[in-house]
Amino acid sequence: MKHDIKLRVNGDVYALRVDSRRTLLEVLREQLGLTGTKEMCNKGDCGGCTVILDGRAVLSCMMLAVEADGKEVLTIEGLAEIGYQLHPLQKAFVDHGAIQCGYCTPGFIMSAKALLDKKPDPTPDEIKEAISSNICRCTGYIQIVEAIEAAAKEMRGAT
Amino acid sequence: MTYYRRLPTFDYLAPKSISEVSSLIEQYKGGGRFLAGGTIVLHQMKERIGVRPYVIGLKGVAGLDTIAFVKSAGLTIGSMARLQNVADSVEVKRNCPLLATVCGLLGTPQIRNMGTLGGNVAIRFSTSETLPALIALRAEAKLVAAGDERVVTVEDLYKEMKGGTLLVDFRVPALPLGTGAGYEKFAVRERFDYATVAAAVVVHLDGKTCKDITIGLGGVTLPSMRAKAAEDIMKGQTVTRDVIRKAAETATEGGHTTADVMFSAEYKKKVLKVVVERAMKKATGT
Repeated sequence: MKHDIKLRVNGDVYALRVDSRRTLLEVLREQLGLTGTKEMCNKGDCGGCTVILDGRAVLSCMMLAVEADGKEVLTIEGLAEIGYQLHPLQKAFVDHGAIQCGYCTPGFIMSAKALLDKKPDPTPDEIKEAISSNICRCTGYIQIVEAIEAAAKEMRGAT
Repeated sequence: MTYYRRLPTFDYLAPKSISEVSSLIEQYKGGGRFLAGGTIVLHQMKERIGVRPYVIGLKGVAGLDTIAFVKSAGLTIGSMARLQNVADSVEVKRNCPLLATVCGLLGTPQIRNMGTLGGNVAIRFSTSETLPALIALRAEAKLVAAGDERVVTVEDLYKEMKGGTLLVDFRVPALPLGTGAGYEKFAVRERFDYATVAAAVVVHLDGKTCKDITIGLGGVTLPSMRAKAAEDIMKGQTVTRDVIRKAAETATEGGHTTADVMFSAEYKKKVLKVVVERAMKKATGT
């Protein structure tokens, strides 16, 4: 069964025809070509496919695209607001060596973004809790927590 | 078990009201499967477990996600209320902090942002973490099946809930003054995994005397998810660490534990006793 849905992704509205069984992840990557959101375990264990849906961090592999109809999705591609200037979180990940192979990075950054939107000044424990859904097999977790702390600081200073 | 990266073929149906859900159940009989938060059902479907030709999405059903408190009736939480919303709800925190704690400790932010209270119960996992709390709180659940409405205790829910039954809401009675509550879970990774075993305790104290107590167990299966023998030992007693230990020793008498890849059934029973003891200490402030 096909469904006509409307999605607002990174500010752009898309009218799409999707099959019932398509996940939000598949539609983002395959229909919209937004491959920044990664497909990893594809079963809700690794957090690699995390996107922000109406302000909440969700796993796009465990959500049907048809259920995202009318909703607002933010992916890693939507973070850099002005041209190619990196978002403070992206920049902090680069500066702190929080990226190794980089495959898990978009998921971590989206989890961190959802946290900082709600709590601009999180404690290290709150950061760990916020990224508890994300797995980095290069295991560079310390640098990731440090990067999020640094980004939070910069974002607070900027406002 | 083969895990497929794509979902199988099905038709998605999006009812807008409880009566529309009822008529879809009637129309498709056993051919439909409910979809709440999706974190478990879609996972199972990718494993080709419980695949049906129709998926009935409940996210658009009006009124299924409301959380409300009325003094006379207590707390009513719709089955589609997301776990994070239950954990954050001012009404829940104020009137039933135990449930807010349990929902806040379950899984990860993403899972809580997607998963629902009703889904966590209806999936019938022995590892459901909200179930012990709802049992300990003596909550009731409203069910709708074939146009009929019924209210049953959560303790008896799995005996009462047959296929094609919609779980509408949970009703948690207001707790009297002097009520203490405690929750303890044991998981491999504290912030991520299902509770291997868990215990939720709600106790009514008169000074140091235990007037009434309910102990809900997680990680065990029917016949009982309640530590009734332990409750009987506690009732009427002056609460001391010794009494609590003696009661906790009997905690595993009613339910079954099953072995999994990590732990044997016997080990789970041993840990469950410790978990029950800690939860009772928390609840009684001992």
